Amino acid sequence: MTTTALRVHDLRVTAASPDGPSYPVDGVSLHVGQGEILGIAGESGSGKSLTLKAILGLLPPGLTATGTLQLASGDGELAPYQSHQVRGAGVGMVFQEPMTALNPTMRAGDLVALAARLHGRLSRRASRHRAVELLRQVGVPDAERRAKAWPHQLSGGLRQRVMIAAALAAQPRVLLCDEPTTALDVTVQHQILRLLRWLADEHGTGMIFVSHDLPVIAQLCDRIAVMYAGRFVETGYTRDVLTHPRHPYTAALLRAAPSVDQRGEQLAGISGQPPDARAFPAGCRFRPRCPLARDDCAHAPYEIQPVAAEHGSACIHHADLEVRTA
Amino acid sequence: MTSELAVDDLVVRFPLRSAMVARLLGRTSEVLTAVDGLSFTVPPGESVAVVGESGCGKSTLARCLVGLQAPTAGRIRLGGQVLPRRRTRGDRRRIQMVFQDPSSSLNPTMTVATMLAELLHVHDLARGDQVRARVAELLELVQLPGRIAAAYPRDLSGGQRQRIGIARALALEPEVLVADEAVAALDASVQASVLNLFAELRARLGLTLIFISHDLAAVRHVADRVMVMYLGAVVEDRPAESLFTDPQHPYTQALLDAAPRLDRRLGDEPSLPGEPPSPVALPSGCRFHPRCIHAIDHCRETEPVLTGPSATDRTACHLAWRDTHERR
Repeated sequence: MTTTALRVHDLRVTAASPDGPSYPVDGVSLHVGQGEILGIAGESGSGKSLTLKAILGLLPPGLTATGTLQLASGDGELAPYQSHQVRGAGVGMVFQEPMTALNPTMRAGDLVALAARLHGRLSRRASRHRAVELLRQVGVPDAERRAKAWPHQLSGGLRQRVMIAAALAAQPRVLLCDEPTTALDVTVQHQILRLLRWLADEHGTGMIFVSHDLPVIAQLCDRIAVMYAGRFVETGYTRDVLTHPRHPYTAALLRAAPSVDQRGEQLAGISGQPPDARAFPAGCRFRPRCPLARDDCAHAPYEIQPVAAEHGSACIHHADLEVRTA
Repeated sequence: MTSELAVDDLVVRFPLRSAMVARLLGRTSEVLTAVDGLSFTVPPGESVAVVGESGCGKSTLARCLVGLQAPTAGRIRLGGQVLPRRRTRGDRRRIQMVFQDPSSSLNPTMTVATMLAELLHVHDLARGDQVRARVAELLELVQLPGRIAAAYPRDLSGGQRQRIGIARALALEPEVLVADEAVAALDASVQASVLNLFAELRARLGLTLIFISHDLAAVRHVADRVMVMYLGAVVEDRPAESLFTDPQHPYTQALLDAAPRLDRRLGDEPSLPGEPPSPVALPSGCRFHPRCIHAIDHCRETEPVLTGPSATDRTACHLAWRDTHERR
């Protein structure tokens, strides 16, 4: 059993509007252990990016978050935190688009050095040394020279490494990654995924990795949470969930993913779109798109229930699903 | 109605510093080679995928095919007829493109019907009452409900927009459809249905499809044949099934190893080191040798020729077509 690094309980994001409030993130609970990587999967609009932003207090104007957020302190005790106190220090973030997330008017080394100086109370000179050291650690070749480069002079993969180096400058306990490899080539994606795995294994950094790409999550993550319409619909160990899905949405995502290892004749897309937070259906929110939907689904609680050891599903008919996939 | 597409020795170079500026500065002019001598033919109705990392020249090739980029040298033929550098409206119609980002490639001020009707009008493909019927037919072809005709791009989801991007290309009744990363910006669930649509359109219309992508899983689903590009050149060009099951070029092998799989955890397999070198200064010999784990002295000196058992089963590697033991 690993020590918990971050715990989130009943996180809710409220969007106020003249028509009344809506809840794009509607009661999410999760925990990440030291050195553990939790993947959050789902389509655009499921609330997965908002969940990350709420954890770090980076919600856009008009959105507010409630819920309990706890982070492990030096002695490993979980304690509630204010997001502005831990942002960048206890909890770091890596964004999807490294070009827009890096300050274009600062050299790569200075960006990392600034983060090191702010969080590590280092002198200018020491922070510059630390920056080169961090760049080297995340696998930037020729780090000394690259530290002097501007973001626009770097390739996508190198920019992403610079962003990871800056996020690591404060030695965070938890790193939040929002689709960090989606914009990258497969070969570079592979390098970055290995880097993240190494940071978790060697430095004990806990991570939440958000992606719509199930194969990427399958490669990297210890546990997975599948998100739909503001809530988790299935949680468990990655291998269990992906080999024995117990929610029709997870099963549908798996059928939609093309594989490099075989030529499928017909991929199964999921018809329709995820519902808008202002009009979530009653009962099970996946019901309108679900191939297995029945009458009682309209009154089903949309909540995760344990279905096996360390495996939860929000589907009341999960037992039927197992028969179908077997 | 579909014809054979042929590309002969296509070269595209971009001068980074014009010759005159270079002379004024007393430096040599620098040239970026985006496409470095491509030759291939595509039989009518075939689906060819072009894969490779960013900067390998695959998008430049796509732009050349549709006439958005004039080649520095070489030519493109369709049905034996050479397509001129400046194409006539009729020539442009024959090869059409589906772009990556449907939200920036559709006019936000036009409804779907207006957009499609304008195309039909400009190319004189339908008149009067026929226009409305043809618009309805096009929407049906890309499996969208007829009411979408009255919608603006902002009213549509990403997947619907991409279907409109496809309908727009199909409106001109092209012989060749070039899709440049056409599913890259879509969610996995939507990606699947758009990939299915490409397969169905091909079967229904007998289109030739050039599918440009960095996503090998998507490629496997739509392509009969795959060309792998590296630094402006094709390094492997083979039937899809052989390429995926028995890749001959170490670069193809590396791409396949790096592709994420549902049933595989990140293991000890090595990542392909580094990134492609600059297309301004191509490496000597084999262009892949600086990143190749099998490279021998011969690779550093002599550029391998793209060759193999047949014109559609070719690899540019000195060590290809030998048994695996010898290579390792």
